[in-house]
Amino acid sequence: MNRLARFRGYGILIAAGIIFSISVFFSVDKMLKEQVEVSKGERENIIWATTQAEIEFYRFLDALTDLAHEEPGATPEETVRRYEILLGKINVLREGAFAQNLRAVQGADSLVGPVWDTLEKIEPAMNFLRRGDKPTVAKIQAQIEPLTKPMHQLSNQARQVDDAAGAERRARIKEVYVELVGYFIGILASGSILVILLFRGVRRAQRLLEERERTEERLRESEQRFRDFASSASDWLWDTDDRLRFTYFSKGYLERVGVNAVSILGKTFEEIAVV
Amino acid sequence: MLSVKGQISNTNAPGQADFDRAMLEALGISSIEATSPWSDGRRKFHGVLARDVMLAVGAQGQLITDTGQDDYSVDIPASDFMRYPVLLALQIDGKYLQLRNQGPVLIVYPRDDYAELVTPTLTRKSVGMLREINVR
Repeated sequence: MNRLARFRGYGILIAAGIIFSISVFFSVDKMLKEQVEVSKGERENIIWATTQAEIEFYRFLDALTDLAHEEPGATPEETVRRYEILLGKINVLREGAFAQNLRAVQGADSLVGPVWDTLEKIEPAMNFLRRGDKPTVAKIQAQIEPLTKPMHQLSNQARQVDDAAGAERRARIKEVYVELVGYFIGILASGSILVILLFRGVRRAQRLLEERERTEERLRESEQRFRDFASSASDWLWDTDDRLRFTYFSKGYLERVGVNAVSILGKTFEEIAVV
Repeated sequence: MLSVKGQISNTNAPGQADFDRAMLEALGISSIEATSPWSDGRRKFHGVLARDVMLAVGAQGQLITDTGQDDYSVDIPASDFMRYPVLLALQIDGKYLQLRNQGPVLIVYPRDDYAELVTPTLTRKSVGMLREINVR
């Protein structure tokens, strides 16, 4: 029964230890994996890139209109500069990290390609721009104004993709949160059991120690009482071990026989007789 | 081509130091083979180290605001320029950069050689079409 109780105690301790270790391992592992996933998931913000391109598109349209109407500050050079900046922004959607992410947007390629082609087609006309040259500006506008719709569509689609990715990230975060809460409950429960068992073990060890000290004290007292009795009694008293070797002689015996206790302690009757 | 202003001690115009291509190249041409958010794969960039430009103008600030031709601007810690060989690239694969490929000055971080540089803000700091640096 005692052995069974001890086995049960150790079983609980080992089980709690295993649950604790597993919970700690998996929760740390989970957090590290999620950290890697998060850093992998850091994608270039395609909304930013597509919106920048759309803004530059409208800036270029405005520059063209200002040039045609000879607005103050409107120069062919500034209009060409806006055109080049627009090309730069569209180029970002064709090559590099943004373009790579943009390919995840359905139909993005079919929007960016024609926009780039159209802008390239107007390049020769850009070299002949003059202030107030309404016919040339009108010709360029006629070619690029149809791009308004695909440019806006591109931004919208990028936003939708980003929203979907955001919803996915939020769902994933929630899932990970629930999983981590589970691990922490495991850590908390098994940790509490371990602490309780440890506390109980310490208390039990203290009790055993106190009990041993009390027993030793009682034994010392008992031995002392016996020695007091034996030394005061006139009877011969002796004690032997399991192999009949003397381990104790009373004072009365030693005085009567007249031998040194040291010379006969540890010897048998036969050995003493020979002596 | 590039203006540097703010907390600087060497100027060649009221309150700022203006650089054309020749002036920048006179500071010493460096090259780097690196990936950038604006192009596919590793490319060879030539230009001047941002650190050399900062030293040339006697920059004393902790923060640098870089502004592009498109008016996009971003704050960069001055330590980025001083600690790492960040390049103000003028050429890509031996050809001068133009506005249409993020030139004429493009900030290129040595992201392939220093893993600690690869953070979510790195692309923001890789300013293209750079026209102005404000040291604060």
